[in-house]
Amino acid sequence: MIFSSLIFTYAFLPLCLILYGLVKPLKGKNFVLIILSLFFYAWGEPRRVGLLLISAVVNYFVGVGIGSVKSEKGKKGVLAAGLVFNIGMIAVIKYSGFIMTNVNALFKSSLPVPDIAPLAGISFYTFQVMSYIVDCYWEKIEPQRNFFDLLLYICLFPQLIAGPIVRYTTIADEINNRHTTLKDYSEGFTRFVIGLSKKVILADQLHRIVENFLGGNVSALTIAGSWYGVILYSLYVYFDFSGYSDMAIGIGRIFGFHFNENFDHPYLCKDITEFWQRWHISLGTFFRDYLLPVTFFGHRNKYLSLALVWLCTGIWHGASWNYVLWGVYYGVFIVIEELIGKKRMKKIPLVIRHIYSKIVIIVGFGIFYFDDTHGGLANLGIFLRNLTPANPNGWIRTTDEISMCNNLFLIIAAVICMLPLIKWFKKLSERSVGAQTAVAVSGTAVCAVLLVTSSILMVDATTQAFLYWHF
Amino acid sequence: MNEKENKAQSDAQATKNKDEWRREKRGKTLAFLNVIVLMIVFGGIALFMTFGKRPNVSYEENRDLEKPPVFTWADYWDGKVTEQFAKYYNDTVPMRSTWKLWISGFRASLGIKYRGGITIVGDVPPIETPQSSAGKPENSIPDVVIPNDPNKVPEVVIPNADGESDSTSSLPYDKVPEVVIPET
Repeated sequence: MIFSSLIFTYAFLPLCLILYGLVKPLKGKNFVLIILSLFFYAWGEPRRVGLLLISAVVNYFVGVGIGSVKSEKGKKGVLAAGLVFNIGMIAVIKYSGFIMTNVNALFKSSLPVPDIAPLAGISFYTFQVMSYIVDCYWEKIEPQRNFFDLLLYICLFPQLIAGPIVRYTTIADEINNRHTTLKDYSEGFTRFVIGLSKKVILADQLHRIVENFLGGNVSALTIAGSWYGVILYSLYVYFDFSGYSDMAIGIGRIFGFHFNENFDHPYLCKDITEFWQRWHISLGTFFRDYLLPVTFFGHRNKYLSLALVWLCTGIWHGASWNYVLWGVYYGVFIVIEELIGKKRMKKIPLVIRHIYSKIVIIVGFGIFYFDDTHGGLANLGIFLRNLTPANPNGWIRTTDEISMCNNLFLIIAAVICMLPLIKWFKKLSERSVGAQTAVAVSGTAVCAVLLVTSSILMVDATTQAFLYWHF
Repeated sequence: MNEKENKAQSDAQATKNKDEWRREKRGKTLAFLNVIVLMIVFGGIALFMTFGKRPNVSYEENRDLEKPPVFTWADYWDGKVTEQFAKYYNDTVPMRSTWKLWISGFRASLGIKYRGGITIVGDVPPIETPQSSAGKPENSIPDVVIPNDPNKVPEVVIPNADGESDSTSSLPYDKVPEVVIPET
C-alpha cells in the first residue's frame, strides 16, 4: 500500500486512527499498531510477512542471547550469528540474482540464476534490527525481553518500508511510555500533508517529464535535454524520498513516536561531505556509527573505512552496477575533500563550492538513474557523453524548449520548495504574537488547500510508487 | 539603587514570562485550530470516498471501470485480491470525471505555452524524428495535421518500422518531433 494513494490516506489511515483512539491502555494501542502494521505490510504480498516475523524472532533471541551470555567470546559469537543471518538474508533475497549473473558472465558458466522477487523494505528493516543487536552488544541498550515490544519496533508501519532507519534507542522509551499531545497531532498532521504534497504535487509531476527525457531514446537527447532531464530527476528523487520521510515522521508523531529527521535541505550544501550530512541522514549515520569503526587487520585505516562505507552505500541501493559506481563516485569526492581539508575547502569562494557540489550531485543522480531497468551502464555511457559538447545531437531542440516552457511554474515551485521555507516562517512567527497567529493561520489554510489538491491528484491512477520502496 | 535595579529586573522578567505565557497559550489555540481544520478536510474527504456513489462506467474513456475483487484464499496469498481492491477503489472514485478534468487543467497550468501555442504555420518544413523511418528516404517527414484550435497539439502520423503509416498519435508537447526550418 502506497502512502500517496487514496486507499491508504482515506481508508487505511482513518481506520488506524479510529482503532488506535478506541483502545485506551498503551499495551492495547501497541497491539493495534502491530496488527495494523502487519496488515499494511501484507497488502499486495501477504507472504512477505512471514520473512519479517522470522527476522523478528531470530533477532529477538540474538538480543536476549547477547544479554544472557556472560563471556565476551560468547557475546561475540551470538552477535556474529545474528549479523550472518541478517546479511545472509538480504544477500540471498536482494543480491543473489545479481551475483550469479555476474559470476556466469565472468566465468562464462551457466549456473542457475535465482529469480527472487524484490521484497519491499527489506533493506530498511534489516538495517534497523542490525543496529539493535549491535547496540545490545555494545551495551548501549538493554535487550528487549518482551517480543511484542521488539516486533512493534521492527514492523511499525510508518517507517517499515522506506525508512527513516529508526534506531531502537530513538523509540525504546516511547514504546511503553508515550502520550500524543495537541502539538504532536498538529505537527504530525501538518507534516503528513506536506510530505503528501511533495510527493503528489511535485515529485509525480516531475517524474512524468523525467521519463519523457531520460526514459526515452537517450542517444537522441541534446545537451540541454540531458541536463534538463537529470536536473529534474535530482529534484524528483529529493521530493519523492523526503516526501515519504515527512509522511513517516508525521504519522509517527500522530501515534506519539518521535523519529529523527532524514533530510535537512540537502541541496543547500556547499560540498559533497555536507550533502551526505543532509541527505538520507539515517543511512549515513548508520554507516558512520556501525561501519566506519571497522578495523582492517587489527588497525583502523581512514581511507579503507571510507572506501568500504561508500561501496556499501552504493550496493545498499540496489543490485545493479550503476549503484556500485554511484557509491564509488561519491566515495572518490569525499576522499578528495578529505585530502584537501576542511580549512582549505572553506577558503574556496562560496559560489564555486555551490556550483561544484551541484554539478557533482546532479551528474551523480544521472549515474543513479541508469540501473538495469533503464538500460544500465550502456545507456549511462551515452548519457554522460550527451552531457558534454561531444553530444552529436547539438545543444537544444524545440522539444526541449517546449517542455521547459510548459513546466516552467512547476520547476520554479520545485526550486522554491527546496529551500527551508518552514524554518523561515517559524523564525518569522517568533517575532510577535501577531506574527505567530498570522503564520499559523495561513499555514493551516495552505495545508488544507494542499490536502485537497493532493487528494484530487491521487485520483490519477498513474501515481508513482515511491522510488525508495525498491530498496 | 540596588532595589531599583532589582525591581526593574523582576519587572522585565515578569513581562517576559507573561509574553511567553501568552505565546504558549496562543500556540495551543492555534494548534487546536490547525487540527480541527485538517481533521474536517481529511474526515470530509474520507466520508465522501466511503459513502459517495461510485461510478461503474467511464463514458469519456469509453470503458467499464474496475470491479471489486472476488475473494479466494489462493488469490489473497498471491496478492491479487488486495491489488484488485486498490485498483477498484482508485478507479471508481465518486465524481471521477470531474476530478480527471480538474487534473488535466492542473497539468496544463504547470507552465506557459511555448511561443503562445502552435507555431507551425504555412508549408510544413522537414521534421526529424528520433527513429529513421524504413521505406522512406532520409529526412522524410511524418504527416503533420495542424488543428485550427491553437490549444490543440498537432496530430502527427509516424511511420512504423515497416514504413507503413498505420499509427496516428496525438502526442503531448513533450513528444512532438523536432521541427527543422531550413535556412533560405
